This record gives sequence, structure tokens and C-alpha cells, in this order.
Amino acid sequence: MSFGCTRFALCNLDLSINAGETVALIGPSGSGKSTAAWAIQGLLPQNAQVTGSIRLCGEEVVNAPEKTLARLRGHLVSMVPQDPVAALSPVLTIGRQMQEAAKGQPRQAIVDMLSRLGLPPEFCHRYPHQVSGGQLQRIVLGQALLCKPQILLADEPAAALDSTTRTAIIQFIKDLQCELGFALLLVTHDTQILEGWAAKIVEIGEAVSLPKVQSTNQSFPVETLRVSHLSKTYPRVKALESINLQLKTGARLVISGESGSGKSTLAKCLAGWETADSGTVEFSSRKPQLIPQNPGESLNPFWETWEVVAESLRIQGNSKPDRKKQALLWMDRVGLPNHLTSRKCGTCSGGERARLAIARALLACQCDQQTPATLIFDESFSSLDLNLRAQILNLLAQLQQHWPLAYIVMAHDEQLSQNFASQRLTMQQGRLSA
Amino acid sequence: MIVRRLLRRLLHTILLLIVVSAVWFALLAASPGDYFDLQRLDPRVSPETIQKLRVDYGLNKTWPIRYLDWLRSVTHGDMRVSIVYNQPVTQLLPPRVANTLLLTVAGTLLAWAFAIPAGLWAGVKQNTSIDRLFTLVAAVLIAIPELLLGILLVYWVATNTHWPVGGMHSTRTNSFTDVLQHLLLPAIVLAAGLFPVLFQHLRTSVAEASSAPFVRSAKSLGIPPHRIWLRYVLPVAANPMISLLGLSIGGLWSSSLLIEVIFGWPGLGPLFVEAVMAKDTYLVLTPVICSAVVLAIGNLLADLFLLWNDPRIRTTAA
Repeated sequence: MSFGCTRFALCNLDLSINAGETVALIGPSGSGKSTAAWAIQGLLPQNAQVTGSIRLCGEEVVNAPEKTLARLRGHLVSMVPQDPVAALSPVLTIGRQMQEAAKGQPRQAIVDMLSRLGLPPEFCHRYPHQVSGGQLQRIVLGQALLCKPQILLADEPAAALDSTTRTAIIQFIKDLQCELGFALLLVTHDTQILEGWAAKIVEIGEAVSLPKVQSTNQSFPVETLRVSHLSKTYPRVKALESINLQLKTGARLVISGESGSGKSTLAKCLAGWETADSGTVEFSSRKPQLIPQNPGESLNPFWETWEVVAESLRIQGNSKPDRKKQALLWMDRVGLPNHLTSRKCGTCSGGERARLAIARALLACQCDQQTPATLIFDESFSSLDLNLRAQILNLLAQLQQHWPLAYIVMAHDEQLSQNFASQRLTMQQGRLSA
Repeated sequence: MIVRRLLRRLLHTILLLIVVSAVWFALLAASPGDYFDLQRLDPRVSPETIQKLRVDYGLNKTWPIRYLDWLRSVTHGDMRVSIVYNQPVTQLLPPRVANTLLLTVAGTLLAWAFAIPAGLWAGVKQNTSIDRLFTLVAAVLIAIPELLLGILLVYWVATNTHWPVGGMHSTRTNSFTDVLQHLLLPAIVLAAGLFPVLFQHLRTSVAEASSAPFVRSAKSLGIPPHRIWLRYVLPVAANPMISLLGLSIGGLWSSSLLIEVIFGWPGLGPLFVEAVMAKDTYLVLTPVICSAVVLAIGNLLADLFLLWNDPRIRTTAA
């Protein structure tokens, strides 16, 4: 399977799923897991060339006419895509989109599905941008299940969920699998959720466990960030309620909390992406840099990678060779190979794009070693596999030894907060608690 | 919320009108001579009479003072008197504005009527022969200036057919069909200027929306193709077109002034040219202000449509 004629996304994958069976497809990011899932439905971009054979209940998918494929999709095979934000139309209500997927089932079926996913029925009237990433992930799952498929393709169905919800959702998928008897192809980099579940595991590449990051003692911690009485209300939701926070260099603050508890809003208010209703955010020198929830979406797909990484230098008026040199340096430090420099961002994998965004933020803060800076990560690690995540966390720890940096990490990942955090806080309905 | 938005927009429009009219006033004042310089060549008019006329029309004052005088009287609904026509501007305007509006609306409707089906078709069937044909037509139309196209069309129609090519009425008839016949050619030229812009935007936005990730997801759920088109692709593709609607109305109004001159259409265009030639300041200002007002109304309409179509904008506005 290859795109255009230069790069192979996936080579020689052999896979078979029996009715009602669960098969897990695992591997590091960029190994072509998602590509395989889309190929099964014949939904790869037009410039993709697929060779070989994919058979769904005896029907050939490779090079099949669009009409045949449209007939197969939905009732025979449906998919939970990796990025739930991009998977929903921004101008239709959630209820409307679920109704489209339900194809004529009564409205009660949709409300039932929402409540089984732990979401209240008034979500029907909300638009995707009014709902958090984790909630969207559940909605996308609900859509795929409303189709009552014989094969469900789930691409990282639990990546954006906090641990409590994740366990509940995985149990929910298992229950429904028993009830409806569909076969499941689970695409994931998280080997933990597979325990006692997948009958067959197909591996692309190799998985590595997360090593413990050594905590370092900064000699003179300086205060970088002070937040007092920060509040923010959206038209229907109270997102932040009187947040107080102090941060010194060398700190690694992990804020955990269920999806929809206001973590993203806090991150945006701290970085100045959103204006709070009341309260103050004081920072010692440089505005905190935010690496967003879907870092890949914050990169211009038509720019070459080095241009994106060094954009802050262009604003400061640095020359092109200098910008390229700096960009290469930082891309190397976040573990991106050299040959990636001349590629367009749009052709990079999800993990590579996450690292590009991190490199860009680090470069924007690096300018002066004397001035403290704060980096905020909003679930930026959830799309990385364990191997890369460990590399990035190690890198972040190393950077703290050289530069006066403080990190705030919004995460639902328990393991991350155990190994990485120097401070831990929990967020619940817009309030912070220890 | 919407009321506040409207009020703010109204305030912006008023500021815009003040700036635009001041700039025109200054430009006209900066160009040498005035209306009475031509009269001076006539030996029958004595220099004293001309001097007296100048004082009567207030032309002896500097332009900022004249401008402030004009502003003051405009707030009382008096647009002053045209020197050329020796008539109040407010009496000259209504029939002219109505004629220009008729032409603009006809041109807009014609352009959209062709651009919507062509753009949708080309966006869906990209890189097919139909798409290439439409794209070629659009490229040719965008390359030909409307002025040239108008003159060529007048020449060809006048030499080969009996179709009316100038004015708004044939002699001694005043029927609706007669006006429509006269309207057709200028409306076609107007539409030909707008069509390529609309077509290219629609083609791109349809192609973009139909390759969006949520469309792929919708396909993977087995939603039938026609519903994907109606529910998923079109509402998203409509957004850039709505913004364009506002601009297109304003733009067409301006280009219709030129085309009116070519086709002898009794709208604001010929009046405007005459007024500029004669340096009839108060008369020049009216088409200028009208076109700024039309642009503002067009943008306001587009804003309201966008609010209605896109929930994300509603949230930011709230």
C-alpha cells in the first residue's frame, strides 16, 4: 500500500478476523495502523494505491466500485476514527449527526446510546465545539455502534479519555460486543487496555514500556507563574471557578481530571488564547507556550516542517539559514529524523506532528537561558505511543536541567502523573484540588 | 445580542461614509478649476456675475468649511443642489438609484444562477472534461475586462441582430418586456464579471468540504451519498459563499456604474461621469455614498446569513 509513488505507508499486512472475534492491531505511531483501518473500508485518499486483497464477508474491497463500497459501509463495517474533533461536522448538532448514523431508528435509540455512554440527553442539542474532546470520542463511538455493524473498526477509541471513563467505555464496548456479536478490530498503541481482551494481537513495529523519569533538583527555583482567582464562564457552562496556582521553575505540575472538567479552558486562559472573565495570570517574563490538544491541527499542512518549527524566529526577523539551523537543532532534540526537514507538515504522521508542535514551542521559549518560561501541554501526549512519549518526557526533563523551565501537563493518564509529576492536582467541575 | 451587533455595524457604516465623503471632497477640491471656470470662456457672462455665482454656491470658501456645511445640511436630509442640473440632488436621485438597483440585482441573480450549478458540478466532478470546460470559461471571462466585453457585445449585437443595445426604453413604448429586453445585455456583461469569481470559490469550497475528515467519517458510517451532500458538504461549503455574497453586491454596484455608461442605461453611472466632468461636487458625492451604503448593506446581510448558518459564529458572537 503506498501514497503517490514514494512512500510506503504499510507493507505486507496479513490479517483475518472471524465473526465476533477481537483482534488488536498495535504498533508505534507512523507505522500505518490507521491506514490499514481506512483501507478496509475503501476510504483511502484517491492518490493511494492499494495492492493485494481485502475481503469483507466474501466481498472484495480493493478496487471495488464506490457503489459496492457504499453498500458495505455502515451495516457491515463501521469505524470509530482516531480524531473525534475532525470526525464530526462543525455545523450540525450532535443529535442530528447521530440520527444520520442511526438511519431511521427512533430518537429514543439515540438517547439510550448517549446515556449508555454516560452522556446526558441534552447533548443532542449541542454542537461539537461545545463539548470536550473526551466526550466527542464517546459520541463518535456511539455513532459507529448505532450502525449495528458486523465489524467495528476502532482507531484508538479510548485515547482521549480519562482513566475512569476509559475503563467504563472499554467495558461498554465489551458488553455491547457480547450483546450484538460484532467482530472488533482495535487499533491502538496502548497495550494496557488489551489485557484479558484481544484474542489475537497483530503487531507492526515494537512497543516499549515507559521508563521512569529521574526528577532533578533545580538549585534556585524562581517563580514563573502566579494565577489568582481565575474564573471563566461559557454561555451554558461554568468552565473555571476561582483558580489559584503558583509555579516555580523546575516544577512539573500534572493536572488530571475527567473530560469536560475545564482542563483545556484553564490551559487556554493561562496561555492567553482565551480571556478569563475575572482573576489574574502573572508570568515572570515570557507568556506560557501552549501545546494544544490536537497538536497536529496547529501546524500549517502546506509548510515545510522546519518553517513551522522556526516560525517564532521569522517574526523576530532572523535570517533563513539561521532559522533552518535552529529548527534542525530542535527537531533533532525532540527525536525527529533529519530527512523530515524538507517534508510538508501535512505528510507527517500524528506522532511526528505532535513532536513538531513541541519543538516549535520549545524553540519559542529558548531564546534566552536566563529568563524562566512555562510550557503547557494539553493532552499533547495522548496521541503518542509509549516509546515516543518516553523520549519526549526524558527530553523535557533534560531541558529542565539546562533551562529555567516549568511544565503544566493536562492529562488523564495516571501513569504519566506518577512517573513525571513533581506536583499533582485534580480538576473537577472547574475547581482545582490537591 | 444581534441588536448590539447591528448597532455597532451601523456606527461603522456612518464613520465609513464620513471618511469616504471627506476624501472625495478633498480630491475634487485638489483638482484645478471648478464649474464656473468653463462659464468664464463665454464672453456674454461678466466676471462679476461669475464671482457672484461662486459666492452664491459657496465655492469661494475652502473645502473643509464647505464639507462641514454639506455635512450639516445632510443631517437635515438636504443633499444640496446640483449646479449642472440646477435641481436638488434629492430629486435627481430616486429614479437613477432605482434603475441602477434593477441592473445590479439582475446581474447578481444571473451570475449566481449560472455559478451555483456550474461550481457544484465542477467541485464534485473535479478534473473531468466538464470541470475543465467550466474552468476555461471562467479563466477567459476573468481575463477580459468588462469594459471591453461590453463594447464588443454592443458591436456584435448591433451589427448582427435587431436586439436593442442602448438605453432603457424603445421610443414611445414603456412596457415591462421592453425594459427586460434592454436590461439583458448590460446584465449579461455584469454577470460575466462576477461569474468567474463565484464559480472558482464555489468549486474550491465544495472540493474542500467534500474531502474533509468528517465527510470520510460519515461515509464510513454508511450514510447514503445524497444525505452526505445535503447535510455534511453543502452547509460547510456555503460559508465562504455567504461572505462573498456581501462583497459581490457591493462590487457589482460599482462595476454597474461603468457598464451603464457603455449601454446608456439611465442609472447613476452616466450621472456620475457627468458630475465628475463638470466638477459638480455635491452630485459626485451621491453615487459614491450610495455605493458605500450598498456595500455595507451587502456585508450586513452576509453577516446575518453567516450567523444563521454557522453555530460556531453564533457562539463567538454570544
